[in-house]
Amino acid sequence: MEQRERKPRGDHGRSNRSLLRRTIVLMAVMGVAVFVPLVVQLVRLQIVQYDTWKQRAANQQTQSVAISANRGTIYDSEGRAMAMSATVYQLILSPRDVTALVNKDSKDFKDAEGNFNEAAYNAAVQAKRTTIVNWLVSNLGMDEERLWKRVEKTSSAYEVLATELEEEQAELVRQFVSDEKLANSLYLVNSSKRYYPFASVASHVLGFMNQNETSGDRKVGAMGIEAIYEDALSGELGRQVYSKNGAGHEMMSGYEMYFDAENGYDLTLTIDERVQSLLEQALTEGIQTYDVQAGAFAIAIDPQTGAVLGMASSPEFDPNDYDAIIDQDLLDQMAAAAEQYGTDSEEYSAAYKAAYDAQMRNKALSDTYEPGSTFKPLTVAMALEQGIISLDDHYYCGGSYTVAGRSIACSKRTGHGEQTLTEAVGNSCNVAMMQIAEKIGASTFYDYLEGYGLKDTTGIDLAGEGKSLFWSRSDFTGPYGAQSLAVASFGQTFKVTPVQMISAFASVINGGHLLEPYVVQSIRDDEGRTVYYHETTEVRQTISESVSEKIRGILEYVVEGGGGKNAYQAGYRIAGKTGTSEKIELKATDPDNDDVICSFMGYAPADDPKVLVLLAYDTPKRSSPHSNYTKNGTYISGGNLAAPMAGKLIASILDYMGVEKEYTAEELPGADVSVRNVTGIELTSAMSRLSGQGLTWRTVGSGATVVRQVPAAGVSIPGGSAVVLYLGDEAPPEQVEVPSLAGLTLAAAKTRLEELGLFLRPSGASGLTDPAVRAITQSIEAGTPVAPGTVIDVQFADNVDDYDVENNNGTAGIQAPSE
Amino acid sequence: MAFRGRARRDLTTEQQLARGPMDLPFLALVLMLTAVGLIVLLSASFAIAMYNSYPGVDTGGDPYYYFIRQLRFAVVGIVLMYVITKIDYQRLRLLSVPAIIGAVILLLLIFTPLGRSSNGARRWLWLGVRFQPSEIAKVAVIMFFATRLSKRNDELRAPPKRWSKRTITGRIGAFLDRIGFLELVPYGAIVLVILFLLYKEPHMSGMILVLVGAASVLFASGIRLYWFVGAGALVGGALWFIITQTGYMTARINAWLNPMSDLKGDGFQLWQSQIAIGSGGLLGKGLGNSIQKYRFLPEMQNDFVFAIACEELGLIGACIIIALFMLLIIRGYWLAIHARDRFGTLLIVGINTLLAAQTFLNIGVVTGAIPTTGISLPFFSYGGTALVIQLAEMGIVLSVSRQIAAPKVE
Repeated sequence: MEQRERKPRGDHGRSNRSLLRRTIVLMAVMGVAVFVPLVVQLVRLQIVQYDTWKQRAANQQTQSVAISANRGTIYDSEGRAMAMSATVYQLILSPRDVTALVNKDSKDFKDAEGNFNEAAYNAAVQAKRTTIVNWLVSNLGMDEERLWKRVEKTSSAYEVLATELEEEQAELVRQFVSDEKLANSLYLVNSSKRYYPFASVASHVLGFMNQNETSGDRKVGAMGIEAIYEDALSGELGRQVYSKNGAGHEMMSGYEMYFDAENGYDLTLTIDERVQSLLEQALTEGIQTYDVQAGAFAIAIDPQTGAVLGMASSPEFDPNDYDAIIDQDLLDQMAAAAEQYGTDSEEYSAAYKAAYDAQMRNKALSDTYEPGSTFKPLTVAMALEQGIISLDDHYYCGGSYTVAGRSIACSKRTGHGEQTLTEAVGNSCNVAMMQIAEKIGASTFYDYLEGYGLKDTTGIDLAGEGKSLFWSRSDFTGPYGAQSLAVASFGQTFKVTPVQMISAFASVINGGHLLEPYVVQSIRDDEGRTVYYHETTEVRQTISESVSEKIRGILEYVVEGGGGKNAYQAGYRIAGKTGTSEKIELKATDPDNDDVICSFMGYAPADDPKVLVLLAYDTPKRSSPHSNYTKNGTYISGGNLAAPMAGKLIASILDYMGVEKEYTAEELPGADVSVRNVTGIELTSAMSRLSGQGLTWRTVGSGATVVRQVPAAGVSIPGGSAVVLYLGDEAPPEQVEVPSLAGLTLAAAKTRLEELGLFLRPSGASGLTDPAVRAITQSIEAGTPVAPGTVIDVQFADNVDDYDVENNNGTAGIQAPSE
Repeated sequence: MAFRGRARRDLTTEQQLARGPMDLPFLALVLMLTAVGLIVLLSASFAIAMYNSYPGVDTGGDPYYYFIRQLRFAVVGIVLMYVITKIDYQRLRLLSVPAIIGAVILLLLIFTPLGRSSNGARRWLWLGVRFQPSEIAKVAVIMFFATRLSKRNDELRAPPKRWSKRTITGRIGAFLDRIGFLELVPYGAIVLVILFLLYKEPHMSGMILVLVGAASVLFASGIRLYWFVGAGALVGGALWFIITQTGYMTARINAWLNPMSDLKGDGFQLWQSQIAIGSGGLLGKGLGNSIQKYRFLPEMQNDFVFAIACEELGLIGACIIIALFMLLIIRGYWLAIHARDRFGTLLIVGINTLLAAQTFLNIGVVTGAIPTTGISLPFFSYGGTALVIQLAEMGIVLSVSRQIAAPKVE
């Protein structure tokens, strides 16, 4: 404007130059400059941050689904599946996606002016939710109230509604999801469920599955074989990666990758389900018979290989539902707590906790106990191996023995008198053991404790092996160790695990081979290739074969004529040793405590051991405080409680294993014979047929021809039994009631049964005809109606004088192990 | 303005000039961008059309839905562009006043039942075809400003003597005249009316583009720079006020600065856009291979079509597209510089700057370089009438190019 006075031409030119200049400026700015930051930004995104964005893209564009690997199956030694997995489904709800099912921008929620109609929108969302909740309630029986709480968590995208849906239910869900187009809101995720077809059988060995801190949602083995073989069983998870679109649907033509899952390995155990069941039955029967207070345990191993055939602990649990209490005694305790304090009380929780801990504990593996007299063969073996005693040695027992100025009583206070070594073990004489131990000396004795592997863990392939408790070597061999040595000779005041004890014991009867006990025989991959096979592992030689043979002879005597005679079973050649052990830790605080563990360590056949069994009952209830008897009148000791049960158990295991019975000359008449057919023939020839079989007879009615016989031809009855021959019109009754035989002698029981046309097959206790031997249990309960001719197994037992409770072995106050 | 005077006397010269050759490089760039834009749109809209997932548009599941419609408009647009190049652009001077009045009327019509809303804004008009009157307003403003401002030199030459130095109003008037304020009043009034109408729609991006178009013409015509400084400060202040004081813009800015904070709204769009671009890398996933278009990136056929181009064609492809735009814009300014007269220059400057601003603002938003504004990408974004109008604007530029003298002007 100041140029107004200028000439038009110059002004015009200047104005045009300005136009040119400014257009060029615009060209530089709008045509070039502004694009520079855009290209810079593109380079930043596409080159510099490429990896980051690519990863972010992959995260949202691909869906990765874990493909579960099948967990391996656990088989018993005969190929029965003990633990197996099946596919189940988790049901997941995404409340966020349920909300997103209703399109907020839809015309339905706009009024005429295009404003958002919130009420209509909310109603539509609510309708969707109602559909889902109602379906789940009516089809899967879920709790409506809880479902509503979860479906309304709109910020959540992952609510696990159910964890173990079976295939049929999953199919229903799939149908519902596709009908209602709920693909992202409600979906199934594969998972697997562990089944234990034999429920509580071998529960402590198998273990169970649950989630732990590190496994997240996944269940892993929590105990036993499931835990220790977790890696072998679980296999490797696979993954399927595929591209998906923004709505979460899989894209047909997209990137897809598949990483195979590697299935877990199958295990074959040394455990035989049948043997295991027999062990568990023995525990249950003993606990009921003797009113045992603190559980029981049993182990059966093959003493030649160390293979564990069965390992049972009571109370037990069901791994299918591991936190439920199934033991009746524990349930009673909880019920008592519930009644007294109510189910919400701390006391009830404590009772549950105690019950849970009790049923989870594998007493055979994790607990330690004082082996008591079952240790005596080990002491004798040491001395024989050292050559300082011989089978011909004689020992005098006057009822007690004085060690380092202290008198330690024997089990029999009046003393066993003069006895051979074999008799001393048979009598379970503490005095003889103390004398032998004195000869061995503390240092050598301690060497053998180590040699037997009692101070190490056995190396068994199960989690949770307990640790033994001993004096230190210096204490044991020191000036105050003499009394410790004395009581250690008969298995008191130190503690070992049952597994340690049975493997040490196996070594003294199998020729001196200390073997590593094991549970898993072989591992196979899912194509059936064996990837592992357990070879018998010998830890060391403990004693020589010749000493072992002597020990076997002594132990066979113990059952034939010594304190173990209640374990006797005709035809089975059972050998073993009883044990009654105190509880040092309880006695330390309460000198009056007289809780004991009654055990029997036995094997058969005596000359060629096929199975070694340790059976123990922890704290049978006394009929009154400090009484020596249980409520059913059994004298409390290993020989009276555990031995009969163990004898029967060993016999049934041998039967199952198919070991031929071997009758001695004295046993032969009582051996089973199969009754021949005598019906329809003359009485006289019938008689000669029966007597030819070693059977007797009695006749009912009169006539010359046998019309009917009881039992029928082919039935096995013990030799010497009387077959009932019916003559003329006489007929046997349809049914008879089994009488009660408890407390009867063999002869009385036999007569009682034969009067009714029933037969008796006695078992237990050598020297059955001794009037002191009385029936304790019968295979068919009294009062049960049975057909005439039925054979009833009756267990007899003697009161064995193998342990004197009043004396408590005199170990109170003996220096306890400090290690 | 010797040519003009002569033209009135000799119409044949005028006609001859108008029959001069079009600028072929510019034409070629326009056609290339239209073609590339159609291809990218086809690829980008394929999925959304197939899934029929864009609210308010029923594609019936036809994957070519958007492409076919855009193609039809492109053909119409190219024909219209050619027709416009045949028109002597000097006639636009006569059209400029009816155009600006018409634009205002169309903007007012939006507030009658003829108006159409979408996403809470009333920007469309239904007159047989659905279009945004703001598109027309942008061109009308440029035409009107270019027409008036091309005569500015003649006006400045006439001495103003109306201001009496004795009265206060006279002195104020003289002062305002001297600083050039009075000269700006009619322009300002028109811009303010249009901005007000756009504000009522509301149409933020339309306001920005009208302002940019108007400012570029004013700038090129020689308006004193301090007015731009002042207006820039004013607009800056207004922006600051809007950004900080209104929730709508605050949310947008926050979404831009931190997309993760608002993954369900604007931030989500930007985040998905950046994932598309970033995952494309240097060479891209290949034409048609975008994954982001499968329902991840919203509005992919509209404002965010460029993100899909980046994902599929990579940095190389994106830079080629940007280069095409830059060449077109630079060639446009070159034509402006060489235009036969000031009117032609200002017309091209306005149209060209508008194109450049729109391109910059769209790509800036898509890449996250600037906050979200909602401006479509010329030639690429889906929108038939916008494409037709865009091509018509290119026709005007080409029409001006016909009258450029062969060797040199001035």
